[in-house]
Amino acid sequence: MKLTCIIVDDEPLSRSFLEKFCERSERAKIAGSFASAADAISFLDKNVVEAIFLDVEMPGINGFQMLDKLSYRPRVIMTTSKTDYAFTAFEYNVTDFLKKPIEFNRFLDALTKIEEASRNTAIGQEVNDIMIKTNGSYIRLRLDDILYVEGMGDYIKYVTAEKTHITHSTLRAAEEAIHDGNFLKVHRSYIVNIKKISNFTDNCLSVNGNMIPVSKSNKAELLEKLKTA
Amino acid sequence: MDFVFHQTLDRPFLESMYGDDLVYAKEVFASFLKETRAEFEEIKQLYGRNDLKGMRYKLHKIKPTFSFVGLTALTESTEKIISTCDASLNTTDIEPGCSELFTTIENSFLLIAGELARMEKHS
Repeated sequence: MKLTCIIVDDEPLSRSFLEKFCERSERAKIAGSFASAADAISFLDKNVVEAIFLDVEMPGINGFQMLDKLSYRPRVIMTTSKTDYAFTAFEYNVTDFLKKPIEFNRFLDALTKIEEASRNTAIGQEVNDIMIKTNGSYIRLRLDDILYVEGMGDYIKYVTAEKTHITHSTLRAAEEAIHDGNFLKVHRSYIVNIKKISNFTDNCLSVNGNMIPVSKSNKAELLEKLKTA
Repeated sequence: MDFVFHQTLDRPFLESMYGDDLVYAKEVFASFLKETRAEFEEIKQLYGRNDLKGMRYKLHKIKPTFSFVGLTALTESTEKIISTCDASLNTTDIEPGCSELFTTIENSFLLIAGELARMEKHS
């Protein structure tokens, strides 16, 4: 399966090269290519990608500032012609750092790193937590602790027994980021941790005392899941 | 790709970049002439206004594009001028290197335009 990625670089030729490299590699699918970090942030608020090829120096919001503004963090490949940023990139835990002009073989190495990182996570089933951004900082939430996720337009609520965390994102993005068999979308505005369901009636379920509506279209799948939960 | 690039260009690099894809090579060379030339005109204006910070930023942006068309050495000499800009207060501090770089860049546009014409003729 191809890696879904976006490219963010204000320099058109650099974008063009990365687009072409993705195509040539036959291993990466471009979901978007953006000349500004602001446009990329808007896109990522509504869409989930696995990787970002990200320039550092851009007018307005730079690459690192952009990472600070994301509601979730895909894997990041920094692309820049300055090696001075390598240390900061390391601090941001980026997957790879490509110095421009990027050679095709080096680009393929970066793709391999992302693929391996993703594979390791998938094999070990180690997606036990997610990072979300709330109130200006990233916090780690254990999936087991999440009772349900509620969509509220451009915002979503992660509800745990102890606290509710609100972040700027979409339910679709949350659904893809969680990617765990114990979670199910039961309504257009709700994803529920089925292990936490205490009660289920015809069109409503209860999680830790919270009543959550269940859509007709999601009911059959929910019943199936509950049988095996 | 049986097309052979000009001897002054970084042929191994171009080969690794484009492989057999002459169509894409033409596209990039044309884009370089359009985009980088426009950026270069802005750089000259910034130089004229003694805006070293703006000039440094623009040079940094166009620096890798020289390599995309095989002008690897020009990428390196641009990097040197960028470093000089960092330690300078006005344009006189970066001379004569800057004027020499500008001349080399101007000449490179002619060379790349010639290569693009040869590629067009070849295909």
